[in-house]
Amino acid sequence: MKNCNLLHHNLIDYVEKSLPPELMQQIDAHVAGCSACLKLVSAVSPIWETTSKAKNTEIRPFAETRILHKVNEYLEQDTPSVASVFFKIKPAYATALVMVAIALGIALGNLQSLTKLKARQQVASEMQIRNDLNVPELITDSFFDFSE
Amino acid sequence: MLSETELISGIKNRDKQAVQLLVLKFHTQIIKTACHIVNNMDDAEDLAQDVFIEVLESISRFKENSTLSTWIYRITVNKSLNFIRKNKRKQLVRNFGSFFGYSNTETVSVSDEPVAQHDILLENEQQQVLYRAIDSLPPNQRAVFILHKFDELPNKQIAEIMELSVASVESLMQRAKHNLQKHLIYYFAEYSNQKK
Repeated sequence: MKNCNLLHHNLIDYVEKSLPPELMQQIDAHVAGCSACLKLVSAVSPIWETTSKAKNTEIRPFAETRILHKVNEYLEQDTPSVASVFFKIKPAYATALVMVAIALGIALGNLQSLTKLKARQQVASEMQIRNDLNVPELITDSFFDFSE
Repeated sequence: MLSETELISGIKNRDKQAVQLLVLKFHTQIIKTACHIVNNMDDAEDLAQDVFIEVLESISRFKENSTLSTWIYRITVNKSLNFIRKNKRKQLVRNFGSFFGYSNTETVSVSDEPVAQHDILLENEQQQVLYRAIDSLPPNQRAVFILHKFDELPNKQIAEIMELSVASVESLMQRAKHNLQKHLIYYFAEYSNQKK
């Protein structure tokens, strides 16, 4: 029984004949005299031998063609379009882009109202000068109507 | 013939010739490894397609710390192990359904019924016994065993593929052998003193 356990603990290495010579001989001697272990070894050996056959697994014909077809399909889909590039932009960049657009809008709005303010100031100062010098009005105020 | 660096830059530039060469060079390796892990040729071919697409998608992130072959092996092993994990969950749901009589799917389990008549096993059946034993291994042990035994890769490369130390690979290999032994002994219980 003790030697049966020795075989059980080293079964695969024994079948592969990869044990140290002394241990190999010890198990050999036991297997020769133990019918149960002999049967176990003779049952497991051919199964283990199939591992060497499994190395030579053959792939199916045209497997490469099928893979290439799929890969080419992927490559065609993967060609970057403007839309796909837009959707691939990371959210952070997209947010930054929106913020810049808003800031630009505000700046343009401010610029416009600044221009209007300057024009009003200019008209007011001209009118002031005319009033001071008593120059008759050539242009009516309605000409400078800035009401929105 | 392109060098590995030229091949990589060709793939990065989506050069059709480079991609074709990539498939030609690696498809056999990928299909065989995936087939050994998932134990099904149809699934292995589907996985190979996924592996190549993953390679194309993430080639820009490939830092060339390892060889292209090792990197592709890593993708193949990860995809195959994920496939097994997903399948196991599906199988669990199916088994749960069949327990309540919702499904007729029969599941074959080696450990349920030890077979005594080893003399009637044909070569194909012997392979099935081996594959069922391998299927019973935990995913990491299975991958290490297959890369070592079928793909005959050195432990160092297996360690790179699995992103483990060489010592961990050796330990996983020992445990895989130990579990396979237990499985085979149980399978042939009639010949083993354990069952007496």
